[in-house]
Amino acid sequence: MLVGNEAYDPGIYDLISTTLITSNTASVTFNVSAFAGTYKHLQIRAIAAGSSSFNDNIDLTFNGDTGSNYSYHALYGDASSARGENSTSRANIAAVVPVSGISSYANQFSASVIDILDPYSTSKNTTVKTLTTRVQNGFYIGLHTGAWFNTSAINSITLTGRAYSIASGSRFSIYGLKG
Amino acid sequence: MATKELISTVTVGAGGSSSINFASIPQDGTDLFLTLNLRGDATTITSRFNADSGSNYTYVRFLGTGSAVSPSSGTSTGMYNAAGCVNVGWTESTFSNVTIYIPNYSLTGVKYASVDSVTEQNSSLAYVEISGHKWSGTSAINQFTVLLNAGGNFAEGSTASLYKITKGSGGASVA
Repeated sequence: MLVGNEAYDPGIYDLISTTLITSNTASVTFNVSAFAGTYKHLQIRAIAAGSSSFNDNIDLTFNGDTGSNYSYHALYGDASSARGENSTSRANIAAVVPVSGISSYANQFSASVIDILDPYSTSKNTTVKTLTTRVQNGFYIGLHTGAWFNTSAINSITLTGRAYSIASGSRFSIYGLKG
Repeated sequence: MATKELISTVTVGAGGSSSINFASIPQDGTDLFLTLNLRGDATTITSRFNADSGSNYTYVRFLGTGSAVSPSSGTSTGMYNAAGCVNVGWTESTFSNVTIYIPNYSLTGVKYASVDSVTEQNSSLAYVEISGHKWSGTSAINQFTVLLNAGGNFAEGSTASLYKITKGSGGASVA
C-alpha cells in the first residue's frame, strides 16, 4: 500500500460476487465450493422483483437438490396482522419475497438478507435464516427459516422464481464471513 | 475507515459443554457481532454480559412457532431467546441460526442488543424469533456467555463466533 492511502479493510463480510439480472431469468446460481477454506459462513443480499403481476416467491435450493429434503418456517406480517407458517418435506426453502409485477411497479424491489451458517460442515444439515420485506403489491415483512436435511458441504446455492421469472434489475450479492 | 475482525470462534467438542464463553473481550472496538449455530438439550438460551445473572435484562420479542405468533416482553436474568438452539430430540444434525448485534459495547452506560434467531426441524414446530434486549449494567462488556436457560449441554459441533467492529476515523461525533 502506498503511504497516505487508507488502510486495507478486510471486512467481516467479504463480497464474493454479484449477479445483476439484465433480462428476466428463471434462476440464479452461486457456486461456492471454492470458498470452503476461506469462509465459515455465507450471506446473500438481494433486491428482487418478479416478472409477473402476481405475488410470487423466490425459493432456495442447495447443490441442485430439488427433492423433498427441505423444511420451512416463517414469522411474517402485513400492515394489519401477523402469522406463522410451516411446511415440511418440501422441495425448497421459501427465502425471498419479491415485489411482483415489475411492469406495474416500475423500479420497485423487495429487500432480503439470507444468512447461511456453517455451510461447509459435513456433520450438519444447513439452516438458513432470511429477513425479507416487500412494500408494494401487498406489504410483507418476514423472518423465514429453512433447513436442508443433508450434511453434505454446500457447493452451490440456487435461487429460483417459483411460478414466474426473476425480473430484470434484480440483484443478488453473496458474501463470505470468516470464522 | 471502519475495521471489522473475528475475535474468536468456539466449537463445542465431544461430550458437549454447558456454556460457551468469550472472556477478555478486547476493549478497543465499537460494536460486537456474534453468530451462533447451536444444538443442545433445549431450545431456549440465555446470554449474559460480564457474568451478570441478576434480573438486569429487559426484552421485547416476537416469537413464531410455525403456526402461532406471540409478542411478549419482560425482565429476565439474561438475554432469553426461545429460538436459540435446536433441541437434540429434533431432526438429527440440525443446528440453530442466530445473529446478535451489540452496539457500543465498550462504552459505559446501558447496553442494547438486537437478535434474530431461528431453529429448524422437519416438523411443524420450529421457533422463529425477533427480539430486542437491554442490559442495565453500565460497565463496558468484557465477557459474553451463552448457556441453556434450563440447564443441560450444548451438543458437539455447536459453534459461536465473536466479531469486533471498530468505527472509522471519519465523520463528526454528534452529542
